[in-house]
Amino acid sequence: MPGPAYRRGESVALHPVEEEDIEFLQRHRNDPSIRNGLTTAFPQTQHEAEQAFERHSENDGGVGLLVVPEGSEEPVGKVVGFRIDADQGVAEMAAWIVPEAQGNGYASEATRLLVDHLFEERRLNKVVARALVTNGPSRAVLEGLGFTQEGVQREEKYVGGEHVDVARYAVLAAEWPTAEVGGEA
Amino acid sequence: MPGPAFRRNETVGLHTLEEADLEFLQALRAGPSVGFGEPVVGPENMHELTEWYEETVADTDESEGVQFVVCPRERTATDGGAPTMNTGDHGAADQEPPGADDEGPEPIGFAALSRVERPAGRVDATVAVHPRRADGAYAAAATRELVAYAIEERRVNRVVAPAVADDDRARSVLETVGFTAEETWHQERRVDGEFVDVTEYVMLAGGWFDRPDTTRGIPDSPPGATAEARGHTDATPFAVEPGGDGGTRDDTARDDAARDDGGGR
Repeated sequence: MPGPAYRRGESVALHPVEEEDIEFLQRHRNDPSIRNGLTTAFPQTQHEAEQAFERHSENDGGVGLLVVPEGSEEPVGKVVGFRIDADQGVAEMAAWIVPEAQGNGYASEATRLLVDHLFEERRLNKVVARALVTNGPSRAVLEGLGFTQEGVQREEKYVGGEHVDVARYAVLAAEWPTAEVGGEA
Repeated sequence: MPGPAFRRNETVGLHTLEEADLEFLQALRAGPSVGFGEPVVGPENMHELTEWYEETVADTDESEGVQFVVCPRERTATDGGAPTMNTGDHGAADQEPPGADDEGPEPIGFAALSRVERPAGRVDATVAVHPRRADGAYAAAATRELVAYAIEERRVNRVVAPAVADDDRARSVLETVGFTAEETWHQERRVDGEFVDVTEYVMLAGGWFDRPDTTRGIPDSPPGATAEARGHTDATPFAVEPGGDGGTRDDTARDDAARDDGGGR
């Protein structure tokens, strides 16, 4: 079970990862329906999942939070901020939602909550996110939140026997609607 | 109990190999099995297997090989549905494989890639299925999925599978999947007091993609979006919804700690 809510939205909240969540993460990290979009082509054993949990727990250079629907205690996905560069004020982010929970807008709200955190609390200036060009739903999430496509990295990934392009998106703090600057999320 | 499924087709799943599966693996390797690949020479105790697991499997160096437990998609009833064939003198086919408890996926075999050579992109394949599931369908399905992984995810060009030359079941499995016999090495191995020939079977990426049932054989299919078309009906092709990360994670997985299940605080 995830830890207490760290940030709450309307339909989902972001919770810290606890030891009991390792099994959930390992299962989905290996699931082809999720890892193909993440382009992770290597299996992860329980041992590796535990090591990753410890490494991430001790490291403040990134932030990973579970996505838990309102009124539930079971996680349905994860959002991650990584490569956080405080000097430049830039971070990259990623997110995934299990297939059974897709179509509810969870990815969109969870992404928004993580970006809120990165801008408002970590005082970053720019958040980058990348998606396979073939990954329509992920790109729709980013575009719906106001990310701008900055370019296409040609044949950047090898997925399903094909070299696939990657679309790079980013949003700047000044463009991000937050309560602080008077905008509406 | 095997870990989560890493790849699936209609017949089998390839699951992560967990330390709790070593007992199953030990029994599998000690007896006759359906398959091909690196031979088991001499007895192996749990100490040896555990050392191997800790060094090779648990904390894998991605340049090295990869190991999976083969599990049927449907938990098979133990009513003898699978014929037991040619089990040699070990009699292992009469026993349920250890690890076949009532919970979780049922381990029936082992599948691995080893000796990954880059930049050539050649690799050795090993598959062994417990004789209880010996009709060849499971071994062929596991082999097919292993090859798909090697070629479609790891960008391997040449998958090599050595089979004992007079092992008709192994050869049948490889030929079913589309391997070609390239060479036969005379008296290459010592088995049960005799020298036996070994045939080197090979699958090349070009040949794989020419098959009608692989990625490029599906007309109008967008790159990569073929899981459903290939029968992975319970797995949508892309991580639909990940707020974008298509790429990244791969890089990060290799060079920094904050990868997909990453960046904890």
